[in-house]
Amino acid sequence: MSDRIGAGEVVEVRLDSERPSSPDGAVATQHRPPRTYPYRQPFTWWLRRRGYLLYMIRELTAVPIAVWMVLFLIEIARLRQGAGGYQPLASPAFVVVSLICLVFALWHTFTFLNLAGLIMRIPLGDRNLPARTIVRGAFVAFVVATAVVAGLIIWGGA
Amino acid sequence: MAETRAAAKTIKVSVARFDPARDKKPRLDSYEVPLNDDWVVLDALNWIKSNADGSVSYRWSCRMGICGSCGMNVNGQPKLGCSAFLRDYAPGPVVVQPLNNFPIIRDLVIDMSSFMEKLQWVKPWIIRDPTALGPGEHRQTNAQIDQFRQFSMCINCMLCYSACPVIAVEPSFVGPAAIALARRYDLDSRDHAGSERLRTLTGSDAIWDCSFIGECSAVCPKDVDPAKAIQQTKFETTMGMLLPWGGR
Amino acid sequence: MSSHADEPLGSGHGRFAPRPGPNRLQGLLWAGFANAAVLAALVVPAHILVQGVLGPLGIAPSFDRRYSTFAAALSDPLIKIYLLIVFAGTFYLCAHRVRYLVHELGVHGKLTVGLALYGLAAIGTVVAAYLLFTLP
Repeated sequence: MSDRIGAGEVVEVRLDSERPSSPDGAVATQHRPPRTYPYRQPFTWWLRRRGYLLYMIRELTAVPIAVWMVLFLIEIARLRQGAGGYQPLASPAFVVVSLICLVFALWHTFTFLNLAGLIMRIPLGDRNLPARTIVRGAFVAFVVATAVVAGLIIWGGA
Repeated sequence: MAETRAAAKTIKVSVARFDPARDKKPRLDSYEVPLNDDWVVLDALNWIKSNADGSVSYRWSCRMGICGSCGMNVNGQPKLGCSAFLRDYAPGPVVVQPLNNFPIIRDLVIDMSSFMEKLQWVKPWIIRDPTALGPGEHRQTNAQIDQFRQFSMCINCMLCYSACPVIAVEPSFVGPAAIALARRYDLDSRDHAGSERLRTLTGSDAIWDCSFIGECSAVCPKDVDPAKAIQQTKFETTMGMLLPWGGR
Repeated sequence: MSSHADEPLGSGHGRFAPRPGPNRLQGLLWAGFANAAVLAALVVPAHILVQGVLGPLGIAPSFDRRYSTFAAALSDPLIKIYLLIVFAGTFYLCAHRVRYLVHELGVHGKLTVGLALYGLAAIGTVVAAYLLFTLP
């Protein structure tokens, strides 16, 4: 099938603007409004650039995090079985799933804390706090938070 | 194809062609263009127009990356035609198409009227409180200029709109360049319309449509970093209000 | 304000007529997301590392390995509140990000999709609250 319009073929004209006609009613042909060709974004747009793919992965990190938290919730639910019936999640599958979720969680941490420096503008006198200072502070906070939370969980289990 | 040993190197350049009076959809026409070491895609297009097909249509002006006219897709990536060197695509082919996310008028010429409207919507001019006039100069230090200098470098080339996937699904999204420009005036110490612009920026079709993909900043030829402008606006209009330095 | 501020939109076809804000709902949704993302970024890896890897492998004594330690820790109201916040935050973070992803992949109906996703997150949070605050 040719992409050219055949003789006698009717093609719908999409008008983008109103054009005045001359006094006898005719519209001058050289001033016919353009029929534009619309753009359609393909479903696989996120494969076109590395940046798009990284964005997809960054956003999807939220899912494994939520999935693991549901597993955590399952353990909390199991507490209702009482002292004799409680079983923590312990299978090798659980460890593998946790490792995968950990990778995604760390990727979320890494990407989001890096971007935090860009999001915040903190004026310091005449200038602004440099983004990399904010980012360094954020990662220090992460190390401290990890130590505190891990420490509390381990101390609570001892 | 027979070539003599002394023939100059060429590179195949395929250009999207669309004549609204004749074509139902765009097609690619290919040309063998001389591969000179210092030629850019714009040079190739000019060569094609002068030597092969005078009907090929495209926008260009300064040919040095300051006017913002020659935005186009080169091998699927948004680029300025005057800044994309043919040698970087050798041995080719180089596929030149119009910018994404805009309707095509003809060949590489896109309908940018939506962009022009969106620019005006953010009121990109200094708005002063008329009662603030007084004697003497109105001074602005270099440090004050530095606050917004980066966002003032925009050349309206629309590469960021072409790179933004949100524009494609949300055509009314006001877009990266417009928001960066709004922030440029917002941060300008001479401007007094901050809260009014922020009101429009925090409404529909503005900053909340952005999901910080960040490719707008990646393709910007002038390092305007519109993604940063948008995220900072999000932060300052929400949590910035709670922080001592946030002040709106 | 100068008269320029009152000028209507100029060139073009008048198609662009956004509603001025501030859209407080979107602002709140974004601020909630940003805070939830920071919280998740700071504490979730530690939980997964200890409870999900070190504990089950026996490398470190995680508090959820035994009923006595787990129940004791979760009887503390501060721990309950902290965990509820982490559950709410991570579920909300997922809902918010998936909502934008789904929209950018071409699914229309931002309102219905949003309500469904935020609704799921809300249900998850309510379940977490129930489980945490009604422990035997």
